[in-house]
Amino acid sequence: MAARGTVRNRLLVPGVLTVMVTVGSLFALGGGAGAAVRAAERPARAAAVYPCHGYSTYHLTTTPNAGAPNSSYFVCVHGRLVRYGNSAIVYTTPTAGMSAAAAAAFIAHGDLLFQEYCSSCHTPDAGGGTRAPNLRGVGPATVEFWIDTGRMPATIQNQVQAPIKPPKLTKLQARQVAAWVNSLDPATPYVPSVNVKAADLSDGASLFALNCAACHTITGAGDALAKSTFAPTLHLATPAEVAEAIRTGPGNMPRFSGNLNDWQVRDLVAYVTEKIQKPANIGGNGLGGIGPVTEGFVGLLFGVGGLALVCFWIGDRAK
Amino acid sequence: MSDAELPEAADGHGDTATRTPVTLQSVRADSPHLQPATRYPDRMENLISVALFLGLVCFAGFGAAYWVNAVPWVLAVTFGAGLCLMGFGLTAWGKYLMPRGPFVEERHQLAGTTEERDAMAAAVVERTKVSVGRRPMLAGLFAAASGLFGLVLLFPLLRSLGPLPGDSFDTTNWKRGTYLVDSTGRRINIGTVVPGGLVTVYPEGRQNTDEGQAIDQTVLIRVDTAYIADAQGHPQPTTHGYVAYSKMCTHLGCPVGLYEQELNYLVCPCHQSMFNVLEGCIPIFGPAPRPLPQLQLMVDDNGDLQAAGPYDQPVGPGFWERS
Repeated sequence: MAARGTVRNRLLVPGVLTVMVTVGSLFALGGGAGAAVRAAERPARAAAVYPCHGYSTYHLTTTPNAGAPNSSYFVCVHGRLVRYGNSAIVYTTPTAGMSAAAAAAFIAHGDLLFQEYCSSCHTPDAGGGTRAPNLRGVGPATVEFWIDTGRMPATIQNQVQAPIKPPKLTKLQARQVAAWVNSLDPATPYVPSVNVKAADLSDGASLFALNCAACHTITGAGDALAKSTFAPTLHLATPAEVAEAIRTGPGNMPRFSGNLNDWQVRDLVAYVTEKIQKPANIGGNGLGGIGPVTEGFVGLLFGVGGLALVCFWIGDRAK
Repeated sequence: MSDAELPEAADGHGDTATRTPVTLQSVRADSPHLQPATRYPDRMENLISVALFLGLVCFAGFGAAYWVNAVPWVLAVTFGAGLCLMGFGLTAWGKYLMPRGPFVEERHQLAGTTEERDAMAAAVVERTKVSVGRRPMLAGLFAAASGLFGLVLLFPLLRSLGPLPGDSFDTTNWKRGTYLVDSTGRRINIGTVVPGGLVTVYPEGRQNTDEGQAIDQTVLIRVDTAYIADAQGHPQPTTHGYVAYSKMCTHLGCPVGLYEQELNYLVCPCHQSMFNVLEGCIPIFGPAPRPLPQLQLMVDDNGDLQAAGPYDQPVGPGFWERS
């Protein structure tokens, strides 16, 4: 793939992000505030693939570029991973950049919101039950995706598939809920932020055709699937939501991890938000891009119907 | 045509071109049949003139738009409107301004008399008998040549059916030890895909070939369970959660790429056949007659996935030796 050859060049870009950033996955952190800088001077620990304390390796089984901390840099504060990523996608924990007190308050807000809007189905400790799945250890990106797209809180229980609707919670509130859920059982993926500036749209198009178009259709309009489920339209998704969906696999969507690296996800996000959502319908109206139903209807009604009227006029005797 | 023109034309082309003027007795210039079809011919002529003129303008506009490489809808509108206006003009001309009619022209008998036809048939039979019967060798050679020619004409027809399929319907490029690679040629490590993920895989080295992308394509899924049921219902261990099935639908060979991770269904986009991944991909809905063939997997020392053997049955839709 073309993206492979230029990975090294792209790795240079995020070096300026912060002094706490260290390129490569080699540094180990001894704990304590501001220790990240010192960590670069230490010899790498061969056994510790993961640079931050406080995480079990269970969350790291998704090796190369899986939206897990495999990336070209990591930022740790107090032994906690707060940010990781590369020039294509930066994954951030909801409480990144906050002081300990501010983060605690932020998480407490999330707790309140969760108890009000989510706990009746997901149970007060987010462990899930018969009516809703367990949310512990799903990662903040999952929580934020479901709330930001309006799918959660669900209005109809026992619905086969929660539909997109106007969000009930604000983006800040969604982030607070995500922060609280993540504080129970920290996990990745974190909330992605995609840098589409250097994206390769043609790479995105071929990846979309291979991985996404089967269910979402080649125009991104979505389609019906098995047992009353459906692939939703992609025309409403924000760049972050597209990346979140790819990395977390919401609902029946497969979860794309190691088989798509962060550069490929970035190309896909750029293709969806630039070409799918703003289609160049040079032939006129795209009619929703849902295929032969609308196109056949319009063709029959206006094309064949118009021709029938013309034939009637030609055949009618002049008066 | 008037009488005055004819002698002049005859002079120009000599005697052979001389034509005899025939007056159409039934139609006179003052006949009501020759009047325009409409009651307002002047008004209609103006309307047609306007339509044809606008059509002319549209065609000129189309030419100009083409010249400056204008956006497609300008080309479409000018060209389409020009055709419509010209078509309207011509049709209206024929409908409203042409003589009202009706006109009837009697036609003489086309066939010859019975005597003429009998004489002709007799002559053909008699002369053929004489000319062919006199040269039997030539006639035989001609018959042989034309017969062979007809036979040889069948060759390209037969050849266009393509080469014989051999065992290509029964085999794929998967063998024991073949590495699974994705479309970019990367091997699939057991850590590459998380449970609930899928990737379309090919035999290593075949990912960019027609064969690899058609008959070898395989959908690799990581499920959450250690055991699944095979197509016969017997328990079968997964390879670190990985299971692999042919991506060719057993109905008509469409790529079965729609995986629903909560239902654990594979859905075919063409006719909505559904296969249960946890039960050996037996078809549970739709027209597919058989389960998707399963590819058995194994893992090498580095954790890369390999095929443990070829498919145990032909992949894809049925053919004449299997239904």
